[in-house]
Amino acid sequence: MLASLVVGGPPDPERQAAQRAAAARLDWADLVPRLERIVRTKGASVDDAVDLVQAAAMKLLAGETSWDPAKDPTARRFLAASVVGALANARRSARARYEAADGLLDEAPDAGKDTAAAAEREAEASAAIARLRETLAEDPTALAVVDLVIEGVGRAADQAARLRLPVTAVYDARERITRLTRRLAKERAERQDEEVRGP
Amino acid sequence: MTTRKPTATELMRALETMSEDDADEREMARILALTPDELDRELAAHGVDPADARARGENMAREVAKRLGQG
Repeated sequence: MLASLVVGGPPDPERQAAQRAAAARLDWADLVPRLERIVRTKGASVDDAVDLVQAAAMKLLAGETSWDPAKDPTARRFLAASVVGALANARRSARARYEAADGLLDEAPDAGKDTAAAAEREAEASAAIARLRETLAEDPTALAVVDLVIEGVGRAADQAARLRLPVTAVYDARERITRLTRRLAKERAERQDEEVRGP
Repeated sequence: MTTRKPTATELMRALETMSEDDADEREMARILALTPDELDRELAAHGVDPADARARGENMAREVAKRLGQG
């Protein structure tokens, strides 16, 4: 997930070759219906599901995906995540087009104001992470998962491997973390409300 | 290819949403592991003709083989 955010650069020829080789080995007759089923679960229309699966397959075949077989040997799972991600991206783009067309976005955002707001958000997020780590002192598994996310190990399967735990234990820890982050956010919002209202 | 360290805001967002990602991953794993009969039933229930979906898969297999010079 957040192990590395790709900023740019030329495609790696070895990775491209590995992607094409993986495309050659896949059982497409079995996989295509499964991918269509997965993307339908996320609310894609039948036509969109067909298009998304075709596009994901063609990108793999062209060696143009971010999939690194050395890090994640399962092309099937990568393709499943790809079609779901492509659907989410398509929805985000459609929403942005709608907002731009309707004048819902600022035409000339104040760059200085944006930078100050981003710095404030960043400081709040750093404080929230510190508070989260503190609160998890008595839940070593969840704390270890948070530290792995900070280290850049974002996927549950990778975290389970690093912690030598069953993936189900990591899923449970991740649920506890999500619940706790929401609780802490709610408490923070309530404190801020009280500060605004005054004594 | 260059990478950058995620910001605290991005880390916090990841921590807040990771159990939702897990639900997606578990559902994907479940669908990838369905038997062919179970898959056909689920496709039909979601408005996809299983025979059409398989035909698209077979076409894709032919297209892949053709593009890789194996067809």
